Amino acid sequence: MARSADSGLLRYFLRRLAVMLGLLVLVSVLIFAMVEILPGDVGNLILGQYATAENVDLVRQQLGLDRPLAVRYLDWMGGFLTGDWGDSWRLGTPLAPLIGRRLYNSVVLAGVAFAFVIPVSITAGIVSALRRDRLTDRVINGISVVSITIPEFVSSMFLILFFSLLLPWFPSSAMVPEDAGPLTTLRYLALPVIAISPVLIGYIARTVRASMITELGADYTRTAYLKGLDPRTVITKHVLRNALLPAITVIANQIAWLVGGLVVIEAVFNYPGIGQLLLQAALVQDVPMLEAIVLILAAILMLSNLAADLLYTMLNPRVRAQATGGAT
Amino acid sequence: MIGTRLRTLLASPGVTLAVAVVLGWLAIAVIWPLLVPYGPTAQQLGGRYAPPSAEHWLGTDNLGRDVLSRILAGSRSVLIVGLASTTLGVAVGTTLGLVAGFYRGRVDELLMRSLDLLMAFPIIVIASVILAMLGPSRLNLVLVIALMLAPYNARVVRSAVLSWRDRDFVAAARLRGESGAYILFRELLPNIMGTVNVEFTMRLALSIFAVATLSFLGFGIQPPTPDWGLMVSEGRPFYQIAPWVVVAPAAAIASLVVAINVVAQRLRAS
Amino acid sequence: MSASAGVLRVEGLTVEYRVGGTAFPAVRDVSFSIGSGESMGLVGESGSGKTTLGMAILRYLPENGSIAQGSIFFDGTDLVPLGRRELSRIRGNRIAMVYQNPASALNPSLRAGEQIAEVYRAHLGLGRDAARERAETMLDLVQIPDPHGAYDRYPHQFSGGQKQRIVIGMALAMDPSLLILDEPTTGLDVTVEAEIVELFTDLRARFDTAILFISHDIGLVATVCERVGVLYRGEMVETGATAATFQRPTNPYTRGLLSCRVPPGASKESRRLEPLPAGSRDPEPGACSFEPRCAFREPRCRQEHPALYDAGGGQRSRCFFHETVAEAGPPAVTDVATQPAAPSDGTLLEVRGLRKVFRSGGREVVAVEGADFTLAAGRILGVVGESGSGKTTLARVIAGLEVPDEGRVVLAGVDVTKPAHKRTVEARRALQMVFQHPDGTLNPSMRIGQILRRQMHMLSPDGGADAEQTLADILKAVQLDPEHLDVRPRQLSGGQQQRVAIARAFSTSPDLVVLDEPTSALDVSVQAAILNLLIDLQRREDASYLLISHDLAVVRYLADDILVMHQGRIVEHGPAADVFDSPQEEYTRKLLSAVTVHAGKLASAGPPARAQDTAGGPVRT
Ligand SMILES: Nc1ncnc2c1ncn2[C@@H]1O[C@H](COP(=O)(O)OP(=O)(O)OP(=O)(O)O)[C@@H](O)[C@H]1O
Ligand code: SF4
Ligand SMILES: [Mg+2]
Repeated sequence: MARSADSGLLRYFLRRLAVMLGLLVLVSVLIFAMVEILPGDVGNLILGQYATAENVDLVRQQLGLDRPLAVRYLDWMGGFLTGDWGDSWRLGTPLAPLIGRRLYNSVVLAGVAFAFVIPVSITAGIVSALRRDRLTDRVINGISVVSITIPEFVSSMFLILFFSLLLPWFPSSAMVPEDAGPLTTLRYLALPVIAISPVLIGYIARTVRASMITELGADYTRTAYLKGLDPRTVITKHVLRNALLPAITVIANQIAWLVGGLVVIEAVFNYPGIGQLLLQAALVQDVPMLEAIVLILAAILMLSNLAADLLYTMLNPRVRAQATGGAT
Repeated sequence: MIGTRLRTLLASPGVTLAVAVVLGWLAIAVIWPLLVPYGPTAQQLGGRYAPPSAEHWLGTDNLGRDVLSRILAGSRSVLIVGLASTTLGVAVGTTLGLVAGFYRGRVDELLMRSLDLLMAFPIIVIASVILAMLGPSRLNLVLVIALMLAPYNARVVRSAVLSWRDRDFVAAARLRGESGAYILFRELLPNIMGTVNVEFTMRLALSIFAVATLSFLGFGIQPPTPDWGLMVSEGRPFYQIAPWVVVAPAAAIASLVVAINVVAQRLRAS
Repeated sequence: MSASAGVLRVEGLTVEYRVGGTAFPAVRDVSFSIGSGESMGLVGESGSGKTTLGMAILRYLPENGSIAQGSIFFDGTDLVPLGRRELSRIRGNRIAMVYQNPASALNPSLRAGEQIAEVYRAHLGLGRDAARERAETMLDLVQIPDPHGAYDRYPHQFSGGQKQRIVIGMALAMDPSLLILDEPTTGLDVTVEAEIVELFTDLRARFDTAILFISHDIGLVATVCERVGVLYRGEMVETGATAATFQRPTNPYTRGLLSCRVPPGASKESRRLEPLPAGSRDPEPGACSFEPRCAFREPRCRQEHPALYDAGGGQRSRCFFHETVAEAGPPAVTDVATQPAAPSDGTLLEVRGLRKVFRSGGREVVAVEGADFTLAAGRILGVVGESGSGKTTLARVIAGLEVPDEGRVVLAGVDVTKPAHKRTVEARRALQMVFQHPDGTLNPSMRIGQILRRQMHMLSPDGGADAEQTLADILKAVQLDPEHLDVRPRQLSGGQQQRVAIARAFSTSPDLVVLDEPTSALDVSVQAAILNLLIDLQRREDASYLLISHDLAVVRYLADDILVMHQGRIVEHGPAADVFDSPQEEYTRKLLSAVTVHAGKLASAGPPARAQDTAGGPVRT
């Protein structure tokens, strides 16, 4: 029985992966189309407004822009899959290594942020639900209402003014020196992480609180109490098991938000991540760079959503049964 | 009904304050020309980086412009773009949510999957890319933010519709031969108006969040229009010598979004 | 009185709920006791405080609920002052509970066996294997097939009846001395209900557990319990031995509850129902709570609050005039029974080869298969079957809310096999529907007048001139006032909402009315009035009914013909008397015998049972 369930799950996973790849192709077409079709002539973009018509044509030819759209798309995708992501228009350097480096930096920042956000938010959500309508809950709730709405650049500016200018505890730039050890690195990342976290913590905590409250009021919770189980067992064994499931989905959704936050945070703190690169590419309309970054981000986001979905399916027997066609 | 609504809103002092802040900013956005002590774009090269004083309550910026005047004037662009994009986004989202939730089946699948796809992307990233390509006009800003808000709104409305569509009064309407539009807008919509109102308020906070952030990044409101997000980004290079240039607009943004969200949470709770 | 008199002795218990700053008592000054091994029933209308009382005994009340007064002696100890720790030692061990809706009583993400095993671990400190072994034994005892395999399955992999067995197993795990059952079979199919009741009977012989059986189903209580208590507005208004109490009620409320039931085996030709008046006002403070609805009231009842008096025969009754009530005997039957429907040969509805399949996620469910029948003008056709047998789908296809995959629906000679909005106005006028849930049937954002006028506007466009007259007439027919036109559905009671729904259906003089469980969501006292109303309207308008109900007594009472459905197919179709008295099909016999298990018992105990038919319905009250 276990075996057939596993193969059911595997089949489900492969099906979802196939769908995701299909969607990714669709997204790549969209990105390509959006960037290529939108107004603004590339020759002029590169050479400036006063370039002569011949020079513009020459640049277009060099870039292969005179070929049909479909050919260019296939060329682009082919290159992408083989690791040749083309060159930046502005910098003239190959994109893949640059993006790779920047992506790595961003993943470090995001990793530290999540390592901070997830335990804090889940704990806050659980505590808030258990102390429902008491002072603790009101305080946590108040903080999350406020923190959800304040744009990251606003909180960053306040943090810099307080903890860098007024009290010189942390550097205002997150440019980690080359030879920094882990502790120094953390000191440099502290302000960006603190700035990006409140929104994420607010959302996750509120979801956890809501689902905790639903599950605490569920009939099976009453059953567990009326069996004579002690409250701790009821919470840890019965309630949390069901209440934390929705957190998986929210956390996955928050990855998209985190990426958006990264764009802002990296700009404010001068952090050499993918967000900053994206921002620069957008501001100077470096088309190949934009396309590559957006596609990479799309792939990462879709993969993380898929992973969350699978985790959710695996941990939830009822959903698992539906997903695997009731094989269990 | 409106009376009881208002009463629950004003029940707690915190919420009353929030309502006052929102209304205050709305009023300022309309009548700021009567209030400002200086022209918001008037430069005074002699008086650059002046700290807060009796003449310039909030000091002056790098071009010697009066920060208070710019803050008051800046409320207008944020609120216009915020309100317009929220209205558009919620109207489109609510319609999509009604249609998807009521018709279910393929329409629903297709709509929701495409919206999921849209939502899987960070708003700011998509908006930056589109605005970078289209150019940052105010209309484009409204359209892009509306496009980004609509899916979230559609989802919430859809799930509200799901809890209503299978009630028997909908079946009764179908038996009478009512059109789809009648059922959507006359039978279902009035019952989910509470949800839509809460949504509007929450999305408004999010929309202002987005306008401010995009302006800060350089894709939103363009200089020399006075705008809060823009002011933070213009003041940033000089924050060490003139922190008030940054603090004032940052605080203005925070006060507006937090106040709106407090109202939204209160509406949702009641 | 010594505490050892019984397992449970409740004394002067008052439970309050605090809502928006004010406390209101949901249970008032209730006293009773249960001897060891004894079973006591608790009956009363919805909201009378049955669940609150049960939960208070386990000291498990919602956050806003609290015990304001009284004691709960269990095995000699008062539970009221106990702390959390002491309570956990008693809960699940000495007192256990089973309640409605087994689907949600089990944790969806824990294995079924584990949920029983943890009881042994918590109370006996057993190790993993020993607990598992005991749990498997328990699964076997509650007749779950393959206990070893079942242990590892999740709740969603069991049927509703099996889930309830698991919950019962959980409750009986520690062989408690008191078991509280709150509507343990409500929502289960009659056949499953019969099995569960049988299981209780078996297990009681084995476990010698005292039972507090909470139910709104008087028939079921008559079967299961030796003694009964009747709650009204949180007060115990009558207690006594079940048989004696139902035979000779000494409280007007008990009497009313008994007489407004649809008597098992009765039909509309044999007698008219006796509704319990709804009561148009709240009782005055200090008066008898039942006074506004009481047929026996005297001026004294408005001035004094009656105590619980000894009414003889071991019964106690909260009524000044319990002797008068006891002597009054069964309520006089008004013999204005309905004339039998005239046999008619005009076919109104013809259904041919109907098939409807639901597809979701690659799976197919055949809801209706090969349905073939006709319905003559002016007759009532009852459709019965277990849940999931396709009754509602059949009705929805006929009404045009679903489109069949195969087959035809012909109404008055016109093919109407299409969705409602594609049918002609005439076809839509001719066929109306009344639904199950009174709170969902009317749009909460509209006023009653708007709802009714829109209906008439859409379906009789030319009747504009006398529309207001028709409206007044129909309102009168369903016993609502013109003032009701200006209110919103929320301001009406469930029974009134259902009257509006009926008015809506009849406002355009339909030829066929589809009634999908029209009284299932209503209290028994309201049900009788609605059924009477439906009979009167049918006669007045000469309409045909397609009546769907899982309540066989209601169907037996109302219908001229019966159609039995099983797994999407029609297995039997014939005149009501024939189908009920001499069922031809095995399945029909099973269905009918399931409900006679307890209906039969009450038929001999209850006063108003005149008809001698053996068949009857689940006496859902
Ligand atoms: N948590 C609560 N807060 C406030 N009032 C409540 C609460 N729970 C129940 N009540 C009220 O207390 C009264 C008794 O309710 P209870 O659920 O005990 O009745 P019941 O007899 O079990 O009804 P039913 O047959 O519908 O199950 C009702 O008026 C109900 O509305
Ligand atoms: S005391 Fe009076 S009102 Fe109350 S039940 Fe008896 S007769 Fe009726
Ligand atoms: Mg109850």
